[in-house]
Amino acid sequence: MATDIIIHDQKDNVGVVVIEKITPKQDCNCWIMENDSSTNIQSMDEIPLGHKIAMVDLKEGDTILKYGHDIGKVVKSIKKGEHVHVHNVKTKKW
Amino acid sequence: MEIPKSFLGYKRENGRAGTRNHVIILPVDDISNACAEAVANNIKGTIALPHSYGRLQFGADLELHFRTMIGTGSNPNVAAVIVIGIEPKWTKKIVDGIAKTGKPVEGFHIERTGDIGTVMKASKKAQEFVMWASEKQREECPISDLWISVKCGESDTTSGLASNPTVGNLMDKLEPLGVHLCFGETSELTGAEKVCATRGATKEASDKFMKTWSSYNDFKRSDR
Repeated sequence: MATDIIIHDQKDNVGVVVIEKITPKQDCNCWIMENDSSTNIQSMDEIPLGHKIAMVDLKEGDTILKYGHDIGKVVKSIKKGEHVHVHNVKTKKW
Repeated sequence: MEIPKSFLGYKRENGRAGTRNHVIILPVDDISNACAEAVANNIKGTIALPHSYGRLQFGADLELHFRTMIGTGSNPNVAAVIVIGIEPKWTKKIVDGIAKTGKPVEGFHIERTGDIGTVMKASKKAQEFVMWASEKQREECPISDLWISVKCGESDTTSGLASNPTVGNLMDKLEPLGVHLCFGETSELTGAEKVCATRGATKEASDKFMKTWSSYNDFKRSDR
Protein backbone atom coordinates (compact mmCIF):
# COMPACT_ATOMS: atom_id res chain seq x y z
CA MET A 1 0.00 0.00 0.00
CA ALA A 2 1.28 3.46 -0.84
CA THR A 3 2.76 5.46 1.98
CA ASP A 4 0.99 8.71 2.90
CA ILE A 5 3.05 9.57 5.97
CA ILE A 6 6.64 8.84 7.04
CA ILE A 7 7.54 8.44 10.71
CA HIS A 8 11.32 8.43 11.02
CA ASP A 9 11.79 6.99 14.50
CA GLN A 10 9.58 4.64 16.50
CA LYS A 11 9.60 7.20 19.36
CA ASP A 12 8.31 10.07 17.19
CA ASN A 13 4.95 11.57 18.11
CA VAL A 14 4.59 13.24 14.72
CA GLY A 15 4.72 11.98 11.15
CA VAL A 16 5.37 13.81 7.87
CA VAL A 17 2.99 13.91 4.92
CA VAL A 18 4.69 12.59 1.76
CA ILE A 19 1.78 12.88 -0.68
CA GLU A 20 0.58 16.18 -2.21
CA LYS A 21 -1.86 16.66 0.67
CA ILE A 22 -4.06 14.69 2.99
CA THR A 23 -7.66 15.70 3.52
CA PRO A 24 -9.77 15.65 6.72
CA LYS A 25 -11.00 12.19 7.72
CA GLN A 26 -8.55 10.51 5.34
CA ASP A 27 -7.31 7.09 6.45
CA CYS A 28 -3.55 7.34 6.00
CA ASN A 29 -0.87 4.67 5.77
CA CYS A 30 2.20 5.47 7.82
CA TRP A 31 5.62 3.91 7.30
CA ILE A 32 8.07 3.85 10.21
CA MET A 33 11.52 4.20 8.70
CA GLU A 34 13.49 3.05 11.77
CA ASN A 35 12.14 -0.50 11.76
CA ASP A 36 10.31 -0.72 8.42
CA SER A 37 6.95 -1.23 10.11
CA SER A 38 3.58 0.31 9.35
CA THR A 39 0.71 1.89 11.18
CA ASN A 40 -2.22 4.06 10.21
CA ILE A 41 -4.01 7.17 11.34
CA GLN A 42 -7.11 9.15 10.41
CA SER A 43 -6.38 12.82 9.73
CA MET A 44 -8.43 15.66 11.23
CA ASP A 45 -7.11 18.48 9.03
CA GLU A 46 -5.98 19.13 5.52
CA ILE A 47 -2.18 18.81 5.68
CA PRO A 48 0.15 19.57 2.74
CA LEU A 49 3.26 17.73 1.60
CA GLY A 50 6.18 18.00 4.01
CA HIS A 51 4.03 19.11 6.96
CA LYS A 52 3.60 17.22 10.20
CA ILE A 53 0.65 15.35 11.66
CA ALA A 54 0.21 14.49 15.36
CA MET A 55 0.29 10.73 15.90
CA VAL A 56 -1.07 11.10 19.47
CA ASP A 57 -2.95 13.69 21.53
CA LEU A 58 -0.50 16.34 22.71
CA LYS A 59 -0.97 18.94 25.41
CA GLU A 60 0.70 22.28 26.06
CA GLY A 61 4.28 21.84 27.23
CA ASP A 62 4.69 18.39 25.64
CA THR A 63 7.84 17.78 23.62
CA ILE A 64 7.59 17.06 19.90
CA LEU A 65 9.84 14.18 18.89
CA LYS A 66 10.93 13.81 15.28
CA TYR A 67 13.85 11.67 14.09
CA GLY A 68 13.78 10.56 17.76
CA HIS A 69 14.88 14.07 18.78
CA ASP A 70 13.35 16.99 20.60
CA ILE A 71 12.34 19.56 17.96
CA GLY A 72 10.26 21.85 20.16
CA LYS A 73 7.37 22.22 22.58
CA VAL A 74 3.61 22.25 22.15
CA VAL A 75 2.20 25.77 22.75
CA LYS A 76 -1.44 24.95 21.95
CA SER A 77 -2.93 21.50 22.57
CA ILE A 78 -3.04 19.24 19.53
CA LYS A 79 -5.34 16.28 18.91
CA LYS A 80 -4.25 13.08 17.23
CA GLY A 81 -4.53 13.59 13.46
CA GLU A 82 -4.21 17.37 13.56
CA HIS A 83 -1.73 19.56 11.70
CA VAL A 84 1.46 20.26 13.69
CA HIS A 85 3.05 23.52 12.63
CA VAL A 86 4.17 26.97 13.81
CA HIS A 87 0.70 27.77 15.20
CA ASN A 88 0.97 25.07 17.86
CA VAL A 89 4.70 24.26 18.20
CA LYS A 90 7.66 26.43 19.10
CA THR A 91 11.37 25.74 19.39
CA LYS A 92 12.83 25.55 22.90
CA LYS A 93 15.95 27.39 21.78
CA TRP A 94 14.66 30.95 21.74
CA MET B 1 23.23 -5.90 2.68
CA GLU B 2 26.86 -6.89 3.14
CA ILE B 3 29.28 -3.97 2.79
CA PRO B 4 32.27 -4.92 0.60
CA LYS B 5 35.65 -5.02 2.35
CA SER B 6 37.47 -3.49 -0.60
CA PHE B 7 37.01 -1.37 -3.70
CA LEU B 8 38.83 -0.97 -6.99
CA GLY B 9 40.76 2.27 -6.83
CA TYR B 10 43.70 4.09 -8.33
CA LYS B 11 46.63 3.98 -5.92
CA ARG B 12 48.45 7.30 -5.66
CA GLU B 13 52.08 8.07 -4.87
CA ASN B 14 51.28 9.27 -1.33
CA GLY B 15 49.37 6.13 -0.32
CA ARG B 16 45.90 7.53 -0.92
CA ALA B 17 43.49 5.89 -3.35
CA GLY B 18 41.12 7.50 -5.82
CA THR B 19 37.95 6.27 -7.46
CA ARG B 20 38.52 8.52 -10.50
CA ASN B 21 41.57 9.14 -12.65
CA HIS B 22 41.38 12.73 -13.82
CA VAL B 23 44.04 14.88 -15.40
CA ILE B 24 43.02 18.39 -14.41
CA ILE B 25 43.89 21.77 -15.84
CA LEU B 26 43.84 24.04 -12.84
CA PRO B 27 43.83 27.81 -13.25
CA VAL B 28 45.43 29.72 -10.38
CA ASP B 29 43.25 32.76 -11.04
CA ASP B 30 40.17 33.72 -13.02
CA ILE B 31 42.16 35.38 -15.80
CA SER B 32 43.78 32.03 -16.59
CA ASN B 33 40.42 30.29 -17.01
CA ALA B 34 40.27 30.78 -20.77
CA CYS B 35 43.76 29.33 -21.18
CA ALA B 36 42.93 26.31 -19.01
CA GLU B 37 39.72 25.69 -20.93
CA ALA B 38 41.57 25.91 -24.24
CA VAL B 39 44.03 23.23 -23.07
CA ALA B 40 41.16 20.99 -21.93
CA ASN B 41 39.55 21.51 -25.32
CA ASN B 42 42.76 20.51 -27.08
CA ILE B 43 43.52 17.42 -25.05
CA LYS B 44 40.60 15.04 -24.64
CA GLY B 45 40.52 13.27 -21.31
CA THR B 46 41.45 16.35 -19.30
CA ILE B 47 39.10 18.65 -17.44
CA ALA B 48 39.55 22.34 -16.74
CA LEU B 49 38.36 23.59 -13.38
CA PRO B 50 37.67 27.28 -13.96
CA HIS B 51 36.72 29.47 -11.00
CA SER B 52 36.39 33.15 -10.18
CA TYR B 53 39.11 33.56 -7.55
CA GLY B 54 42.84 34.23 -7.26
CA ARG B 55 43.29 37.94 -7.81
CA LEU B 56 42.74 40.89 -5.46
CA GLN B 57 42.74 38.55 -2.50
CA PHE B 58 44.98 38.84 0.55
CA GLY B 59 45.49 37.56 4.10
CA ALA B 60 43.43 34.65 5.36
CA ASP B 61 41.21 34.82 2.28
CA LEU B 62 44.17 34.34 -0.06
CA GLU B 63 45.60 31.54 2.10
CA LEU B 64 42.23 29.78 1.89
CA HIS B 65 42.31 30.14 -1.89
CA PHE B 66 45.81 28.60 -2.07
CA ARG B 67 44.78 25.74 0.21
CA THR B 68 41.68 25.10 -1.88
CA MET B 69 43.66 24.98 -5.13
CA ILE B 70 46.39 22.79 -3.62
CA GLY B 71 43.74 20.57 -2.04
CA THR B 72 41.94 20.18 -5.35
CA GLY B 73 45.14 19.17 -7.14
CA SER B 74 46.13 16.86 -4.28
CA ASN B 75 42.81 14.98 -4.35
CA PRO B 76 43.50 11.28 -5.07
CA ASN B 77 40.84 11.29 -7.78
CA VAL B 78 43.34 13.40 -9.72
CA ALA B 79 46.20 11.55 -11.43
CA ALA B 80 48.14 14.57 -12.68
CA VAL B 81 47.80 18.34 -12.76
CA ILE B 82 48.55 21.19 -15.15
CA VAL B 83 48.56 24.48 -13.24
CA ILE B 84 48.15 27.69 -15.24
CA GLY B 85 48.52 31.13 -13.67
CA ILE B 86 49.01 34.65 -14.90
CA GLU B 87 52.46 34.98 -13.29
CA PRO B 88 55.14 32.57 -12.02
CA LYS B 89 55.13 33.18 -8.27
CA TRP B 90 51.65 32.13 -7.23
CA THR B 91 51.66 29.45 -9.94
CA LYS B 92 54.75 27.92 -8.33
CA LYS B 93 53.13 28.06 -4.91
CA ILE B 94 50.25 25.88 -6.13
CA VAL B 95 52.58 23.55 -8.06
CA ASP B 96 54.87 23.07 -5.04
CA GLY B 97 51.89 22.38 -2.78
CA ILE B 98 50.48 19.71 -5.09
CA ALA B 99 53.96 18.23 -5.73
CA LYS B 100 54.11 17.15 -2.07
CA THR B 101 51.73 14.31 -2.97
CA GLY B 102 54.35 12.97 -5.40
CA LYS B 103 51.99 13.09 -8.39
CA PRO B 104 53.02 14.63 -11.73
CA VAL B 105 52.32 18.37 -11.73
CA GLU B 106 53.61 21.13 -13.95
CA GLY B 107 52.98 24.87 -13.90
CA PHE B 108 52.73 27.37 -16.74
CA HIS B 109 52.38 31.12 -16.56
CA ILE B 110 50.97 33.40 -19.20
CA GLU B 111 53.13 36.50 -18.62
CA ARG B 112 55.91 36.78 -21.23
CA THR B 113 54.59 33.71 -23.08
CA GLY B 114 51.15 34.94 -24.07
CA ASP B 115 47.99 32.94 -23.92
CA ILE B 116 48.46 31.08 -27.23
CA GLY B 117 52.04 30.13 -26.39
CA THR B 118 50.94 28.96 -22.95
CA VAL B 119 48.09 26.92 -24.41
CA MET B 120 50.58 25.22 -26.74
CA LYS B 121 53.16 24.43 -24.05
CA ALA B 122 50.57 23.33 -21.50
CA SER B 123 48.71 21.22 -24.08
CA LYS B 124 51.86 19.27 -24.93
CA LYS B 125 52.46 18.50 -21.26
CA ALA B 126 48.77 17.70 -20.73
CA GLN B 127 48.94 15.17 -23.55
CA GLU B 128 51.93 13.49 -21.87
CA PHE B 129 50.04 13.39 -18.58
CA VAL B 130 46.92 11.87 -20.19
CA MET B 131 48.98 9.17 -21.89
CA TRP B 132 50.67 8.38 -18.59
CA ALA B 133 47.43 8.43 -16.58
CA SER B 134 45.55 6.28 -19.08
CA GLU B 135 47.95 3.43 -18.37
CA LYS B 136 47.00 3.39 -14.70
CA GLN B 137 44.98 0.35 -13.66
CA ARG B 138 42.51 0.02 -10.85
CA GLU B 139 43.74 -2.09 -7.97
CA GLU B 140 42.01 -3.66 -5.02
CA CYS B 141 42.15 -1.27 -2.05
CA PRO B 142 40.85 -1.86 1.49
CA ILE B 143 37.57 -0.07 2.20
CA SER B 144 39.41 1.94 4.88
CA ASP B 145 41.31 3.69 2.05
CA LEU B 146 38.04 5.22 0.92
CA TRP B 147 37.20 8.85 1.68
CA ILE B 148 33.65 10.03 1.25
CA SER B 149 32.58 13.64 1.40
CA VAL B 150 28.96 14.60 1.53
CA LYS B 151 27.78 17.93 0.27
CA CYS B 152 24.38 19.51 0.11
CA GLY B 153 23.32 19.97 -3.49
CA GLU B 154 20.26 22.12 -2.82
CA SER B 155 17.54 21.12 -0.38
CA ASP B 156 13.84 20.58 -0.76
CA THR B 157 11.11 18.96 1.32
CA THR B 158 12.35 15.50 0.50
CA SER B 159 15.93 16.14 1.73
CA GLY B 160 15.08 15.88 5.40
CA LEU B 161 12.54 13.15 4.78
CA ALA B 162 14.56 10.67 2.80
CA SER B 163 17.98 11.63 1.44
CA ASN B 164 19.56 13.07 4.60
CA PRO B 165 18.52 10.15 6.86
CA THR B 166 19.67 7.72 4.16
CA VAL B 167 23.08 9.37 3.71
CA GLY B 168 23.46 9.59 7.50
CA ASN B 169 22.61 5.92 7.81
CA LEU B 170 25.27 5.07 5.23
CA MET B 171 27.88 7.10 7.13
CA ASP B 172 26.94 5.36 10.37
CA LYS B 173 27.55 2.01 8.68
CA LEU B 174 30.84 2.99 7.00
CA GLU B 175 32.48 4.78 9.92
CA PRO B 176 33.22 1.60 11.95
CA LEU B 177 34.95 0.15 8.87
CA GLY B 178 37.52 2.93 8.97
CA VAL B 179 36.17 4.86 5.98
CA HIS B 180 37.11 8.56 6.21
CA LEU B 181 33.99 10.69 6.16
CA CYS B 182 33.81 14.43 5.61
CA PHE B 183 31.02 16.92 5.61
CA GLY B 184 30.73 20.66 5.83
CA GLU B 185 28.06 23.31 6.15
CA THR B 186 28.23 23.65 9.93
CA SER B 187 25.62 26.42 9.84
CA GLU B 188 23.16 24.21 7.97
CA LEU B 189 23.16 21.80 10.91
CA THR B 190 21.16 24.26 12.98
CA GLY B 191 18.48 22.33 14.80
CA ALA B 192 20.68 19.26 15.00
CA GLU B 193 23.81 20.92 16.42
CA LYS B 194 23.53 19.19 19.80
CA VAL B 195 23.00 15.81 18.17
CA CYS B 196 26.11 16.41 16.10
CA ALA B 197 28.16 17.62 19.07
CA THR B 198 27.45 14.43 21.03
CA ARG B 199 29.17 12.51 18.23
CA GLY B 200 32.57 14.14 18.64
CA ALA B 201 35.34 11.54 19.03
CA THR B 202 36.77 13.66 21.84
CA LYS B 203 35.41 16.42 24.02
CA GLU B 204 37.79 18.83 22.27
CA ALA B 205 36.31 17.91 18.90
CA SER B 206 32.77 18.45 20.18
CA ASP B 207 33.75 21.78 21.74
CA LYS B 208 35.43 22.92 18.56
CA PHE B 209 32.37 22.04 16.53
CA MET B 210 30.04 23.84 18.96
CA LYS B 211 32.32 26.89 18.97
CA THR B 212 32.06 27.17 15.19
CA TRP B 213 28.33 26.61 15.23
CA SER B 214 27.79 29.10 18.07
CA SER B 215 29.79 31.83 16.37
CA TYR B 216 27.55 31.47 13.33
CA ASN B 217 24.41 31.39 15.46
CA ASP B 218 25.45 34.38 17.58
CA PHE B 219 26.29 36.30 14.42
CA LYS B 220 22.88 35.57 12.94
CA ARG B 221 21.10 36.37 16.20
CA SER B 222 22.90 39.72 16.52
CA ASP B 223 21.55 40.51 13.06
CA ARG B 224 17.97 40.92 14.29
